[in-house]
Amino acid sequence: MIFKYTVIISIVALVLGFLSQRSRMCFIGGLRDWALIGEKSLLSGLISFALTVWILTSVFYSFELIDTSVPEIGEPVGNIMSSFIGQESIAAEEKASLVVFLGSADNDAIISVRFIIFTFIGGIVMGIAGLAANGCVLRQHVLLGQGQMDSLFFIIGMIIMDIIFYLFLYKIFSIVY
Amino acid sequence: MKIRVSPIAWGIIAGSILVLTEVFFDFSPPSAYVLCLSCHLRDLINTLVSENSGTYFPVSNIANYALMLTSPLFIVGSLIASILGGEFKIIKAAKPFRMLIYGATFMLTGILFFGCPGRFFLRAGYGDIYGIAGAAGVIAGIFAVTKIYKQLSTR
Repeated sequence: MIFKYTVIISIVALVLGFLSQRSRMCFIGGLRDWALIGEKSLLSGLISFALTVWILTSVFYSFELIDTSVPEIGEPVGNIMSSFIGQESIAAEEKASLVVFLGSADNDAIISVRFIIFTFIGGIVMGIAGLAANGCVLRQHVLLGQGQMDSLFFIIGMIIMDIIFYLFLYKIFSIVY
Repeated sequence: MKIRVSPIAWGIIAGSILVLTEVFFDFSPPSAYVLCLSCHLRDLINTLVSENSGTYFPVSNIANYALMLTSPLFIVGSLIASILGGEFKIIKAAKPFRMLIYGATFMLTGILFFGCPGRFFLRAGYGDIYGIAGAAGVIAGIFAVTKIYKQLSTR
């Protein structure tokens, strides 16, 4: 089982790494070029990507081949976060204060308005950091593959932050959930 | 061997690969997780740390069943493409400290909000409200900064 998933994700990564280098695709670069100089080439890649995913998932949803609950719903109170705070699940009262319940009774979809707002703010921060670094994380990986050593430091920064976060910062930032 | 791939073609191919991989190879949970370079790098590092030290670092569900080699193999894929295309050239780092900070910022937001910009757009395509919020935030951030930049440059 471990071997199967590792092989799948490795092949996907190799193929997408190859294609991303050949297409110069960058999510932040596409939006930046459009906003700054009206260039739509990379933006068209972003739009075609989102549209393809939307159409395919709509088809697969209708055949129930994808879990019909909205992906990631409940994640703020799900596995990753419960690992952060060292408990199985957030207490019911706290959960009720955090979230707005939507949908039918058989649908346990939970929308956290607070998390939506924080995600929006996080997106803004990510956009600004990506602009400053001259490309999103996908582009930084491609640039490192091309020999750009600045991108190596970008990825080292990511690794350092990952370790610092799980050692020291997770309790501070748990407020976003 | 120079293969040109247009951004539109990239979007269609990548979008298809990501959705079809999840559907036909059951690559979940979480959903929309076949590509996220921030999250997969986190999973890889956390798996290595947990395996090699006494400290447990959490990973996503699927990372319990797979070693998420996405980040290194993405670089290898890009390396192969750049060598074949004659574009590989080592360029010394011009601003290493700043790039460390940008990378750290990216990872912090990536860990907190479960995604890089690519995954935000992937999740938005899946209809995930958080993905839409994240993608809207990325767009808003970029437009705000470019607007400020334009105004400053025309003064």
